[in-house]
Amino acid sequence: MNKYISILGSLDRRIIFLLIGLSVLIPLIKPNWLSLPIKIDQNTEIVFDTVSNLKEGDKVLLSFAYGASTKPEIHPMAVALLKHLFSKGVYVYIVSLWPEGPIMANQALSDVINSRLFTDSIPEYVQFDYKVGGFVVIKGIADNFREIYKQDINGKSIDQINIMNGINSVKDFDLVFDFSAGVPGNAEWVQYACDPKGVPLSSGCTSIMVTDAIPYVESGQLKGILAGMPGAAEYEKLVYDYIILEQNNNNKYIASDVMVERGKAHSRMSAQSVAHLLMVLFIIIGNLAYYFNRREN
Amino acid sequence: MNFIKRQLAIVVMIFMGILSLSGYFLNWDSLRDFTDKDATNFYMIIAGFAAFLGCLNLIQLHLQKIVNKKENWQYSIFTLSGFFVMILFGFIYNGHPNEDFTDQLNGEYDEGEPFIDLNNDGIWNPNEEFTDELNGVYDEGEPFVDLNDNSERDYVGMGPHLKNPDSAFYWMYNYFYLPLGSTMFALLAFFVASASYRAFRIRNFEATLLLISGVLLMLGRVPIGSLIPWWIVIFIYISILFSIIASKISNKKLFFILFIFSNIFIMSVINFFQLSSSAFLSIPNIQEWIMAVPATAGSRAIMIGIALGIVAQSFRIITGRERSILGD
Repeated sequence: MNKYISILGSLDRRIIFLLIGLSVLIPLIKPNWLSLPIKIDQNTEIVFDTVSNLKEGDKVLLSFAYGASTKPEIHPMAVALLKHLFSKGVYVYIVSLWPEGPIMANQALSDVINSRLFTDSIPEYVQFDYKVGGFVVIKGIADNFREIYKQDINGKSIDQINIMNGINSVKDFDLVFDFSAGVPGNAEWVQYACDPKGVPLSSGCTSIMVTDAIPYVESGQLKGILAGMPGAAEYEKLVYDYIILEQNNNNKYIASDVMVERGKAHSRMSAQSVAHLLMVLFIIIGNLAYYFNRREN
Repeated sequence: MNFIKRQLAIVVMIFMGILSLSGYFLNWDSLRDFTDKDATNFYMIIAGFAAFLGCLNLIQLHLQKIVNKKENWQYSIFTLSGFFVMILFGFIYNGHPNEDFTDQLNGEYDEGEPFIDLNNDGIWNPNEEFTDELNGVYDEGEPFVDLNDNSERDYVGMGPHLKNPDSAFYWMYNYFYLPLGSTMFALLAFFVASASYRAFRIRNFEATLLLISGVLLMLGRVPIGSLIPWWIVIFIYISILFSIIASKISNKKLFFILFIFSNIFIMSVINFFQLSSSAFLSIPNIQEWIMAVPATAGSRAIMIGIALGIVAQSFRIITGRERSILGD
């Protein structure tokens, strides 16, 4: 017995890599083999309720601050949020605080528009290019939006964009939502813009950032948080159910003849579940081997 | 020269520090205006130049590595190749099928043509006279070479091409950078698995706490966590308790009997009083509690510590004691 446990305790790292690879790959290729129920976290529910409480014609500022490395985690929540906002008839304003932000925002918008889920009557949206400066740009948006952004991403003057009328600072938005994978991220939005100006802020971030953001959630400075891939999957599920319901209620923004698709995070959660379970098994095996080795020595 | 490099730099640093800080304490509109607008613009311009400085530094560093054949100098070739290829696609080669057009007078008002602005709104209105000109810009109806036979003139200028999905830069981003970036992040899963197998050991009380909270968070954040039945959670609780008191009980047989008996007894009690659906027996609920209480407390302590550190460091800079920016 001790011998076998000791062998298990000194597994070659290549075997661990192989097992982890398979545990991720198989559920990704065959998501139907393991369909797990998704439990909605309290913070995800707060985000959903905050967006659901927006009214038609409200203005929401979206900040894209993530890139290629964190796209699999954050992009699904960006797509789900855009679907939720468009279905509510909310005006969307997109800024990018990371150099890759405009590309990420473009791809999220393309995903939503190409899904053909929405009719032509969806409200206008405006996208702005990347601005260098990080938290200083956030501070600029907080004080004087028009000083920072004079034209949209296509070079059109903001004076010629209808939905820019009345937008002068962050106070003119009904909600700010930040997709962040580092700095600048939700902490900077809390400190330099939304908290001093009293504008509701919500955020979606990578799992690794959640611990840093949780104090702001607990204090109410962040209205909930979408925490990594699980947060994205939970939000996708809520938006999926909501859009199905609204489609049946003949929502004027949602096309009635298009099949609503579940997002990508949902199918990725099975892979993450199996990988996490395997890691826990490794930890247990490692500790059993450690215990037996120590006893022998 | 030394005056410019040291004394003047320190004077500018102290002056700007005090000026920016005063904006938050003195109720003087001009000063507030400076801190809110001008200082913000200063920072953005300096940050823009820092990008150039970073590029120059990268080239210099890796060229030196290659020339001197320092350790792993081969990787520097890849770094510089990637850097120059992206510069090529960003600044020189568009990659988009830009179709040439013939500028013509079309009898209609086109952007940029002079007009008499009757109502002084800066925009041409249909009743305002204009002068038809060859404006050098493609206007609706002008002939063009349709390279891809789609009956539309395709053109994306340098600059906007960075965001155009048909450009070479975008292609490179989508099919090289994006998968490589995701791969780098995905590799973490393998290293974390291997590291947790080797390093997550019950060595002492603190390590045990870390391990338990780590395992509960890992299971609580994924859907599989909500499928774990209550009796396994009871088993985990009792195992934790016994692992803490293990060193106090020398008789292993007694220890084992107590462990089994405690499990059976507590599970029976929970079952009898129908407490199996309690929040403390659900892994996702335990995970939420860990994040909301101990993790928040720890994060707040760290944040307050960092804030105090920033105050101290800023004070050192403003009073000219911190001179690391001068290369000291």
